[in-house]
Amino acid sequence: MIQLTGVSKTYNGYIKALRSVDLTVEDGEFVFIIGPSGAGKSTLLKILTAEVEPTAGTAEVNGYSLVGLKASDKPYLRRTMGVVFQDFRLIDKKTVYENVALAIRVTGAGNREIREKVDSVLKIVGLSHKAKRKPPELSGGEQQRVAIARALVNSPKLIIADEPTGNLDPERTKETMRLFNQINRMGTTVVVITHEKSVVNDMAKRVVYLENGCILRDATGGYNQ
Amino acid sequence: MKKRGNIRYFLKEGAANFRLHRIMTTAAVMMLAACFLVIGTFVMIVADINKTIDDVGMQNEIVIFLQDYVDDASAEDFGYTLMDMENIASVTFVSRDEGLKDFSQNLGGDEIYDSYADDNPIRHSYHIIVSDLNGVEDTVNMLRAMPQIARVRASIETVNTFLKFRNVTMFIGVALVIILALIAAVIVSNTIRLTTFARREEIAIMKMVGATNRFIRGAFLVEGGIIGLLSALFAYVLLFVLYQFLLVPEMSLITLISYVSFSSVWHLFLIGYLVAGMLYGLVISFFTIKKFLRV
Repeated sequence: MIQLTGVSKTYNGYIKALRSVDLTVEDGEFVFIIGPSGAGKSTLLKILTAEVEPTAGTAEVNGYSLVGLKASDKPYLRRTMGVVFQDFRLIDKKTVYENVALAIRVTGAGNREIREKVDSVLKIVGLSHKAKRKPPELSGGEQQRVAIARALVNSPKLIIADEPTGNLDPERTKETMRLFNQINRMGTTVVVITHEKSVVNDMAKRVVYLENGCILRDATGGYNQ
Repeated sequence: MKKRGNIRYFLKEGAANFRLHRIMTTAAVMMLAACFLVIGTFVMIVADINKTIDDVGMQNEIVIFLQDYVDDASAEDFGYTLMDMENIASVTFVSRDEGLKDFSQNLGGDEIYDSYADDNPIRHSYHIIVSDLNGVEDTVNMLRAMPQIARVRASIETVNTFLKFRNVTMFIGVALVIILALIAAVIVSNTIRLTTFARREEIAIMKMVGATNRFIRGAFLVEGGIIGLLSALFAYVLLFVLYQFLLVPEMSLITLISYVSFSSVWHLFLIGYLVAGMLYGLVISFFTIKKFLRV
């Protein structure tokens, strides 16, 4: 669950990226966060992943208060969520299997558990047959599915995707969004940050519109609803 | 089980990283080995100088002459008193008669002995070797204070010169070892910083998926440890070859120089090198990676 109350973020004392944002995302929800460049979407993502701390307000994700969160607690917060990026952020020298396994290995899981869970998520994203390939040998869509598998492997309560379809063609975009929908139906909260109208319009989900660091609209429907 | 799995993973990752960045890591191994080699060579040379000084110093005896009134039996017993004193390694008694014989032989014949045998002017004496040259002055002072002793002959200035020379070489040796150790630290640190910098994306990904700093450090520490151990082994082999086959044959030509045999210190060097190599790799990796973990 995400609970932001009056969250503001100012960089260097004068650049206001977020202005008193109130946002609640309940467990099991599917939410799009949309808005033009410079709206504050990336800052919001950084706050949710504890990369930056709000300047004002309170923020809570999956039971962790993000204000004053100790550095030693950040890994444990991050294990409760999976993050998918536009540029996939895979380690090129590792195989698909190793990339996905990394997310669960860092939790201290044993080899058998790692094998079982990685096999399972690779099946979900349809990449079992490419487990031994390395990212550069895969297409953009496949790489994104590896990133999704990595985000899923710890069975997180929350998946945050930052422009997950930015590097994909329309067909791969639909495929990826179908996958997120499927993951959401399995009970995982999904937050997709995007500026692609078609992606939002194709799915009748909750849409939070951000501009100049403020939430201007929060409703179910398409991009312009 | 979990820990064992992680350790296996770190070892695998560390070895893989070592292979992947082999040019940079090989350069680090060579540089560190060179530093270790110079340190080792210098330590051996300083040890040789010390041994030479000790050996020469040991030949520098203290000679004491007993009072005229000390009779033969008391003179011989006086040896026990001397051996009970601190810093005395050995004593050799030279009786008046032996003293006269030596004296006359040194001057070229028995005639002198024959002329003085009945009225021997030579005193009973002892030739003393001290165990620690540093304490020779105190020992001489103690001997001078003893009523049975008429005269003490000791080349304290010579001994002090030896000691000063030894202290200077020791000081230079320690200073050089410290400087080289610092240089070695900078070399390893730079190499690890470069390899870490090249992998900052990977570290960011690991942080993003919830890796703790301890987990991320694991593979880097293994890599640093491998660099340290390989450097140590490489330096050890080079030191053995350099010292045993190049330095010792040259030094043995100079009769004045005493040298420490490598076979008597090989285990100290092997353990010292391995421990130092391992510590270098681990400690420097630990501190170098620290700044890349602040995400």
